[in-house]
Amino acid sequence: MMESFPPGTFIGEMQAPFKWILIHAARFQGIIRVNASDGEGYVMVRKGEPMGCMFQRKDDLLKGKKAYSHITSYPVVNLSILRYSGEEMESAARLVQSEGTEYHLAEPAAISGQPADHVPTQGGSGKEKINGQAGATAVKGGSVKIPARKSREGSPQTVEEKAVVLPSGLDTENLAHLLLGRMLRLPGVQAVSIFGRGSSVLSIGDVELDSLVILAEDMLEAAKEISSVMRTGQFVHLTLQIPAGKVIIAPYFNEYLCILTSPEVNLGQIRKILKDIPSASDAGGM
Amino acid sequence: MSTGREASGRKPNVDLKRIFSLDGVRMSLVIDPEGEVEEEMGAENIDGDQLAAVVSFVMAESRAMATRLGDDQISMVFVEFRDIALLSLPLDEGYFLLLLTDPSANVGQISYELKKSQESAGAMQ
Repeated sequence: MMESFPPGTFIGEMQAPFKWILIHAARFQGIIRVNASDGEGYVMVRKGEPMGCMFQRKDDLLKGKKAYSHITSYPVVNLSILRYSGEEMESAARLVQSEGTEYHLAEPAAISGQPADHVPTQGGSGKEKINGQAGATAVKGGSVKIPARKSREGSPQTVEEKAVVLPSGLDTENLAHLLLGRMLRLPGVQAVSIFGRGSSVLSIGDVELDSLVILAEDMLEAAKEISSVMRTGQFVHLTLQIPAGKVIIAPYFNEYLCILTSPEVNLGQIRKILKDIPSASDAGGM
Repeated sequence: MSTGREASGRKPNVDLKRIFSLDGVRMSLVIDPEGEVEEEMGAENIDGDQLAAVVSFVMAESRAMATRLGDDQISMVFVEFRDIALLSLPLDEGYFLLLLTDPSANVGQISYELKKSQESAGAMQ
């Protein structure tokens, strides 16, 4: 029963290939809720390893490895990350065991039987989600409840998976500390996206930034040209200020950050955080 | 410069000398809607015309982003590099004001002064 799962500590929401998150979650323990175009589910994770997994696809309930295989078949999925304490982890592990969604269990068949290795389609509809709402959904052989999460219907789902190079030691926890903990806690910061080569790698916050990525890259390309007519040194950031707020674009290792804020945000604090990101200035130049 | 706007005599009235005197400012330019330098002061080693052309492109892309976000107007564009920073503010009639500053310059103070200039430049010649 997912609703019976411990609430945990909310870390943030992201769009990313699931395997990418797992690679960078070596110290993470908790549960990652998954929202894809054809359903929802979760993966319970302990130190970067999946411990339990479930995916509800229309009337099909996928469990264990089948669910995991289905979730990882998507180039990008919407993720909501909840960190667990040791006690919460033990409680969640017992629930996973009682529901038979343990990752290492012998493979259970999907209840109404479609294979999990389909190619996901673009976009999602409310009909494809669990009753169009978050919460409990009865299925054959048991019921599984998925924790409530913000709907991201219409989000692009077909972004190609790319090799993302981040410095060693940067896992989900550190990423959350760096970006969510410091930036999103700043008054006025609404959303942060990590992007590169025309697509969003991660998107965190209340505002959909994916559609802005191409425009952000166009701005970056234009800014690059400044270096062709004068000696500038390495690019640090670009800030567009409009009456409604600010858009800040800055290097992030070999990708870029796009930060959307309200007008009252303290730009100095953002600049300080950008300068504090380890090695950003070494690896993120134009 | 020979733009239609100039021919009509509607040019922004910006006190570049005062702006150039601000701490940390290396160069100040007024750029016309065609991306050409209307007026400039400082930094003789920088080709103002080339700079105006590329910064016009940055402003155009920034306008596209602003429009996408539902705002038709830009308050300011700030591009910081390790060795230099650029601040750009739109003026009336498609002109914009561009400042090159030291990266360590007090951006808050400069942008405040720029906004004052932006307001006074609202009165076109």
